[in-house]
Amino acid sequence: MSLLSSARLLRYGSSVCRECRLTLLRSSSTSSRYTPPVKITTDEELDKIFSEPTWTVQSLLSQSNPEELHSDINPSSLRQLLRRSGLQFPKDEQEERKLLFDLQRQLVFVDHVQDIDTSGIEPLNRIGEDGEKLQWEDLQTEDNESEILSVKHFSEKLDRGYYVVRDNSGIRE
Amino acid sequence: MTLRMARKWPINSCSLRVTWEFKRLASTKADVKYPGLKCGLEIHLQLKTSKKLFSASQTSFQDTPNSNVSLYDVALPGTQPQLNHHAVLLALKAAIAMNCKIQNRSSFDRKHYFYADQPAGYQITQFYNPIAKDGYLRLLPRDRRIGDKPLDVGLVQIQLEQDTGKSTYAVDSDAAYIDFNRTNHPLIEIVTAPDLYYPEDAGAFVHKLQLLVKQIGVSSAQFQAGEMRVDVNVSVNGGQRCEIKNLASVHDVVHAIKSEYKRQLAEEKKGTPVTSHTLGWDGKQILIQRPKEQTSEYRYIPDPELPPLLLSPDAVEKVKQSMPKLPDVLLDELSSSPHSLRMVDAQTLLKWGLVEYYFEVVEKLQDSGLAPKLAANWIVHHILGLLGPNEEEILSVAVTPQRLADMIKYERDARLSKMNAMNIVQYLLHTPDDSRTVDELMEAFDLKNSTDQSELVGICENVLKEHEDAAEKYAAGKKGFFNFLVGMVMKQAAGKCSVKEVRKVLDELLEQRYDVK
Repeated sequence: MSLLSSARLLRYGSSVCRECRLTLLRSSSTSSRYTPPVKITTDEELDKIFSEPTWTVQSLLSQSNPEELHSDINPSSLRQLLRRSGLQFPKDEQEERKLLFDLQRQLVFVDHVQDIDTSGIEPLNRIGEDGEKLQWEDLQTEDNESEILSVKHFSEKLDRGYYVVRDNSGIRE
Repeated sequence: MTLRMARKWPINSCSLRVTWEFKRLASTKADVKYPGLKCGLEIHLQLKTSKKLFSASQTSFQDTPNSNVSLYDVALPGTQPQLNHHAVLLALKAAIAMNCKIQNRSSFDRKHYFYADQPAGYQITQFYNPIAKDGYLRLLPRDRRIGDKPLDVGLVQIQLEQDTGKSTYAVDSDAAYIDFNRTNHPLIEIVTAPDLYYPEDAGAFVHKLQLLVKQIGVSSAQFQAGEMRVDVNVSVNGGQRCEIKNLASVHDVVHAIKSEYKRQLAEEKKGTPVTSHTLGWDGKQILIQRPKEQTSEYRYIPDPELPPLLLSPDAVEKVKQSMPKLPDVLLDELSSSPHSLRMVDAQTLLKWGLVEYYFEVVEKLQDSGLAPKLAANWIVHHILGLLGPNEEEILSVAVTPQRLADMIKYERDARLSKMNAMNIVQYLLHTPDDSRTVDELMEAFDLKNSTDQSELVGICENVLKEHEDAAEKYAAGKKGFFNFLVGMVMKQAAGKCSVKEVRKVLDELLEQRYDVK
C-alpha cells in the first residue's frame, strides 16, 4: 500500500466509496516491503485491511538523520518561515532547537511523500463537484446574493475615517 | 443674457498634449541601442465594474474612506466569496482583444502575505490556472515603437485577482492609515513575456494597452486614479532580473528602465553580480527596497471556498461576436478614405473616446458636401481644448452631433464665426439642459455674422488707427502682426464676422495705406 494512499485512507476512512478505495489500493508506490497483490472482493475484506495499520510515521523517521538531510533548515531560515507565517519567534535557544528538530523531522516525512510517483495523475485541488458552466446571460449581471453589511458600527475605532495600524512591519508584495 | 466673448484658445490643446507625449516616448533616436537589455511587464488593471470581485459592495474612487466596505472585504470570519460574473466578462474581453487562448476551466488560488491593507492575509488570484494564456499585443511603428517593423509582444497570461486596500503613512509617526474601499476591487494582471528590448517599446506597449482597454470598455486605465499600475522586470546580459514596482505613468516606465539598465551595467563593470531585488522609482532614481521574494514564499494554494470558473464555449463565442472594433481597425479606417484623417488626429479621437461622436457628426454632414476631416479638425483642434476634466463624457449630450454639424455648416457659409461657435460650445457645456437649436441660440445671443460690409470696413479702419504701430511693423515685413490685427477686428466686431472677410478687407486697406501685399 502506498504512503500517499495510506495517508488519504486514514483521513477519509469509511466515507470513501468502494470504487475509490480500490483505485487507491491499486496505485503503486515506494513501500518498505513488497506485498503481492491480493484479490479483494468484499467490503469486509477491505475493512479488515484498514483496521490494521501497516506502517507508522516513526518507522520512517528512525531510518534517517533529519539534521543531515535538511541542513538548510537553520536558525536564519526558521525565522524567515516564522515571519512569513505570522508566528512568534522562539523564546530561547532551547525552544529554537526543538522547533528546528521538529521541522527537520517533518521534512523527512514529506520526502517520503514526494517519493511517490504521481506522473499521469491529475492533482486533486478541490473536494467537491464542479458547478455549472457560465452562460452568456450569466456574464451580463453583477447580481450578488451576499448581503452588503456596513462596517459603520466600528466607527469609533476610526481616525478621520481610517483604520490606524502602528508598527506595520508586514511583508509587502 | 449675453455670451461672454470667447477666451483665447488654450495653448495646451489636447492634440498638442498628445503630440508632446508621443514625442517624449520617441525622444531617443532609433540608433541609440540598449545591448543586452530585456524587459517584461506585469500590469495590474482595475476593471470597470460597479461591484467588487467577491462581494456586493460598490467599487469607488476617492469616496469617504471605508464607506464602501462589506464584512467580506475586511475578512471577518464566516464570510465567503461570491464571484462577480461581470468581472469575468470584462476579463474575457481583454483576453480576446489581446489574442489570448481562453481557458474554459480556470481556478482561483490564495497568495499569502501579511500586510495591514490585506485583511485576509492572502490575495485571491489565479496563479496555477488563469483565465487566459498565450496571447500577444502587436506594436506598430505608428504606436511610436523603435524601428519600422511591427513587434508582437507575447502575453504569458491574464488572470483575475483582487485589489488590496490603500495605506497612507504618517510622516511623523509609525502609523499607517488604512482605507478598505479599494479592497477586493476586480483586477486583471497582464503578464508579458520578456520581449521588450527598448525602454521606449515598453512605454509604447503601456500606452497602447491603455487605449485598447478604454476602447473596449474594460477599464478607464487612468494612472492618476490608480486604475493601472505597472511593474517592470529588467535584466541585462542574461543576468538576474530586478523588478521595479508600481510605476504610475508611461514616462516613469521609460525612464525607470533606462536608469535600471545603467545601474545594472555599472554593477557588471565593477564585477559585482546583480542580485534579484525589488526596486522602487521616485521619479528620478532607482531605489533598492528588498530582495525579491521567491514564488514559494507566497505559499500558493488553491482557494478551497471557490469552485473552478467554468465557461461554456457558447458564452466565449458570444463575447467574441460582441466585441467592438479594436483601436488598430479604427485607426486604419479613420486614416483612409473617405475620412483621410491625419494619424495624430485619429489617435487623439481614440484617446479621448470620441470616435463614435465623430462618426455621428460626419453622418449629419453627409448631405452638405463638406469633407469629414472638417469635423475631426473642429473636435480635436478647437473643442477638446475647451473641455474640463471628464467633460468629454458629456460632450455628445451637450454639443449634440446635430448641433456641431450645424455650426460647421454655418461657419463654412460665413453665417457664424468660429469664435462665436466656440462661445456656443462653452455655453452648452455649462448648460447641457438647454435644448435649443443652434439657430435659436444664434438668434437669442445675437451671434449671426453681420452682412453689412461698410460696418466691417469701418471696424477695420478703426483698428488700423488704434494699432498703427502694429500696422507699421507688418508693413515693415513682420508678417505675424497681421493675425494680431485680425484678432483685434474680431474682438471689436464681437466675433460677428467671417475671418475670411476680415482678412480680405484688412489686406485691401493695408495695401492702400502701406503699399504692401
